[in-house]
Amino acid sequence: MCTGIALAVTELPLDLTSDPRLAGREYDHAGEREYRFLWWQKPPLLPVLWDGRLYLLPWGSQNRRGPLPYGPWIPQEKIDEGAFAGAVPEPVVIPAQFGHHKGTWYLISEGVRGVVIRGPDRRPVVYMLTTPSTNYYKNMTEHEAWMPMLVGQVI
Amino acid sequence: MAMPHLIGFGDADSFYASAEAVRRPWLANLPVGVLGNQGACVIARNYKMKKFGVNVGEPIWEAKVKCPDGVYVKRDFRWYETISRKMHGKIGDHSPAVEYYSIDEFFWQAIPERGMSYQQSAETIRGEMKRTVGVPMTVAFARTRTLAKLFADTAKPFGAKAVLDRDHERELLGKLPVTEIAGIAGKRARRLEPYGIRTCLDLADAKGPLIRQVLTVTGYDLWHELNGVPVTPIRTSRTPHKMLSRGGSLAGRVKDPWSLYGWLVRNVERLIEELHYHEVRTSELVVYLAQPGAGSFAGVVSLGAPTDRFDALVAAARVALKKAYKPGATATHMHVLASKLVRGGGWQQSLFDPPNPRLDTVAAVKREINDRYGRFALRSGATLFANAFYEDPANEHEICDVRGKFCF
Repeated sequence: MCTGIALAVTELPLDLTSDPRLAGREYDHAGEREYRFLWWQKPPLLPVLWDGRLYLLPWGSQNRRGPLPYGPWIPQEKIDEGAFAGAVPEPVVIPAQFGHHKGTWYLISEGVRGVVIRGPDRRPVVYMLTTPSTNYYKNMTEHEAWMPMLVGQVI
Repeated sequence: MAMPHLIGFGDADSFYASAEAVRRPWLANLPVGVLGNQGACVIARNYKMKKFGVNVGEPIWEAKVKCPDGVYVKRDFRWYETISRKMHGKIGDHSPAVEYYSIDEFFWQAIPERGMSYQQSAETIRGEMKRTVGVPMTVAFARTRTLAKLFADTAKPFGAKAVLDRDHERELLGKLPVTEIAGIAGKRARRLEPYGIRTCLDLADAKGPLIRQVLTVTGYDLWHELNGVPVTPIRTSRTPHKMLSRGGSLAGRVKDPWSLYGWLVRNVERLIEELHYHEVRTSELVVYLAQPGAGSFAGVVSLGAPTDRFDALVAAARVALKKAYKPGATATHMHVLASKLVRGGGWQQSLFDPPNPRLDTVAAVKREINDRYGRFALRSGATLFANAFYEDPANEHEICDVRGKFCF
């Protein structure tokens, strides 16, 4: 899986950097300033490239009994099977420079593939798409069974 | 006074990590580790990560404890080769004779830049390499290859050093343990110990016949080089291979014989690419198989006539694999090795190797398709038994696929 991503501060447009929801998400990474979007932050958010614009959207659902899929990820095969067809998932890109899992930061070339699903209140929520891990990703992340679907990249 | 004839040596600093920073400059300021073929071990790291004590060969789960801010990158040998060839070309702008020693190391016939000293020339090449290719490189000039390589190691990272006189050489050699010399480690160093030879200077000052006796002719050559007598010239093209091999890790533990067969055919197909590239045929095939717990074994098969044909080599490889395979054991590494190579024109058809135009045509079509549409676009159906490995495009190009260099 991927429990978070990081993006250099300079990668976010100025109008977004003033968003109060970014408070507490700016980190010093060995001297470089970056925003980290981690699943355990409250509320979990992700930057999302959607319809040509960059948004900050709520990430997944932590409500097991709610109408939205529970958790931060949806397997691509579930989308292919039409499991959420009723919610009309829209494909998006989550721009990222690094992905994070079990304490490992790994390089992401462009971003992670995701889908935006609207809840009953019509508010958009983003999920990362996942696929079964390659042997390489399993070794890198200490046997994680699922990996994020990356744009133009296989780990 | 005439300038002495010197050898130039260039060694890229933290090459794989530096090459990654060429296309992603923002990585240059972060601790970066490049992971090897299986994603488990750090095969290169930049100086920022080195400061945290991360060593080459260390597993990622240990490295990330030492360096929690470290960023890990999957290796991309195709990109590293692109950068390596640019470096080679850039040095060629400064010398008529350049040796492609390894993917990130070069020897060349040193010629001082017009109006410059050797020291200024070393600094110029270093600066130009960083400016035009983007890779930091340490450059050294000395009287021999061995001296140039040793002195470059003392100047890392991003150093430039020209050592022209014996006093300067002796001063530097006295500070270097003898194990710094490529080819003298462990066993050889222990053989030198009783003679009080601990530094490179001790070795240089020892009697030549003694070194020949203790370290054989290879060590004797090194002794000459340490004393400023060039032994090995600059080799602008690779000396012909005595054998060719393809293989390596099986990307995990393989127990299923069919998966093993899939890997065998993959390695045979890669080996045939090399045979064709070097225009040689093989008379003997060896399959090595590492099966932890059961041991490492080799199966050898002599071929009736030198061949580069898929059908003949797969049939031989199957027999060799059977010889090396311990039923029920789990394998982790496999190598398929072609030896007793015969160069173009030197082979003779035998009664048992009649011409087969149909198979030759199939082989030619396969080569053409793969040249046009990408490596492994057309491959044997048997490789489907190891298909997961083909799904990752990064596995299409490995370090051994970088041709023309002398060292792995």
